[in-house]
Amino acid sequence: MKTIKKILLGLAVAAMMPVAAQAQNCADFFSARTPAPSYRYNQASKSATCYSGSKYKFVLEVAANVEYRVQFYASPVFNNEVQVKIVEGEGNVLYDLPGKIDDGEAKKGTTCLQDYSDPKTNKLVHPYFDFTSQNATRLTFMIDIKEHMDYQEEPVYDEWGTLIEMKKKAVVPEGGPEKVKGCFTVYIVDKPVENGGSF
Amino acid sequence: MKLISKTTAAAISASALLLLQACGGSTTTQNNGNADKPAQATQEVEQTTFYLLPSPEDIFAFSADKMKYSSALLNPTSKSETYVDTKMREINFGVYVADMAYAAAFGEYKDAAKYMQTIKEASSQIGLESIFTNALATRIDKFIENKDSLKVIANDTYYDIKKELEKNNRNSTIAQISAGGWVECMYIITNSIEQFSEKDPNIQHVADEKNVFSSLLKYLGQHTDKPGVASTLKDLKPIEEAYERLQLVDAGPSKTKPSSEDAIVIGKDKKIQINEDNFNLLKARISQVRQVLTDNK
Repeated sequence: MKTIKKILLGLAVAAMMPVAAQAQNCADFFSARTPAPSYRYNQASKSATCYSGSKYKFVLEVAANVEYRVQFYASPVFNNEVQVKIVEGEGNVLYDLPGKIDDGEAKKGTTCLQDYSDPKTNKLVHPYFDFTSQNATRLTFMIDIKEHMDYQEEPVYDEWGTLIEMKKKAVVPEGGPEKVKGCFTVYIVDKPVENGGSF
Repeated sequence: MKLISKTTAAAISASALLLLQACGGSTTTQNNGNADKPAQATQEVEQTTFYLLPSPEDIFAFSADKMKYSSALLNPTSKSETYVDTKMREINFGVYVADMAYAAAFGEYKDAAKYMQTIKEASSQIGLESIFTNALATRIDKFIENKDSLKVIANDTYYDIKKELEKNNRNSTIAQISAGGWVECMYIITNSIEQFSEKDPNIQHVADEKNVFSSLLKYLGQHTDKPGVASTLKDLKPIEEAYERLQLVDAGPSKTKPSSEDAIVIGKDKKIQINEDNFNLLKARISQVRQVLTDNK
């Protein structure tokens, strides 16, 4: 009897844990903000509630003579299925990158969300984008969060019919794609330019 | 039911209920793309644009070294009690936050502490009293005469205010506070400039704020259905007209070097140009609007 009670209570507590995690607000993302050395946390940083299958724009007005470092983060529920375009001014596309690459290892400059291994340090690095501003301008981060998909594992065989691996394949969920809610974050740090600027 | 005690049953029911709520909250098949609340389809484009506005500390960060401090430019704390309607309370909350950031940027301990106290008192008038926890109050009480410590506390306070408002989807309040803060920052910067010079970085900074002001107007424009926001947009009109006179011109040869091999130099082609007449007009309009926003008439 006591064992059943313990199991049921354990299940109840376990069921509550993901609820607590999901209840966390996007605004809490920056609670443990620790800018890289010499950089300052920029209060224009934003973590917003977003939905799969939707597009968003984050507009940053850039001040002159400042070095900006921008990073993006997405809730795991989006599975990095995000395309990010960074546009300067009225349409100068600086980057157009997927959140992750499907095959192989991510390398520097190939994704906007998936960590890559830095060959110099052998450490995992979260992608970042550096900008040095000469004059005031505008950066627009155009975010395209793809439809939420289910993933199924499919076997991959070699020419002799030997199983090589189980590969994940995205499939449209029964009843069509559902809107999934999560946080998308634009994290910005800055510092004054060191070479004196353009004045 | 005899097999399970009432406590156990209650725990299971509660967790099941919470789990259902979580599923309902995180997954929806009917959302139309609005990030923070359900929206009409016609609002979708505007509502899915987020304007990343600088804080007063961000605005002062790159200009404070070139300015002189003057407490005469601050909005007197005694006025705080005269703001009775929501719009004036929110706008002037932003004004006082900017005043505190200004004092903190210059390491003016007494003024920063005084304005922090005013912000704390005013916070309860706009439903923000929860951010001034005992921990923050203790930090304020232990204000030390250290410029960096002051800046950190001022920065953290602004962060906590914004976070609390975002958590509660009070985006129109953020817009109003941002408007008050921006006008106060620009009032302080323009009135700290004694003489016009095209080479004065603070004057170019005032011109460059045209872009931020444009985003601020668009941000306010997303919330005109909320009380007082349309009125604020009307109040800001004189500044908008003055900024419209400033034109983009060729920036000339690039002198800025990228900070690292990966960095991209941006803003190379165009710059916002300002001449003495336009600066003086802008300064006058900013002072005029600041008076409207802070004088409660």
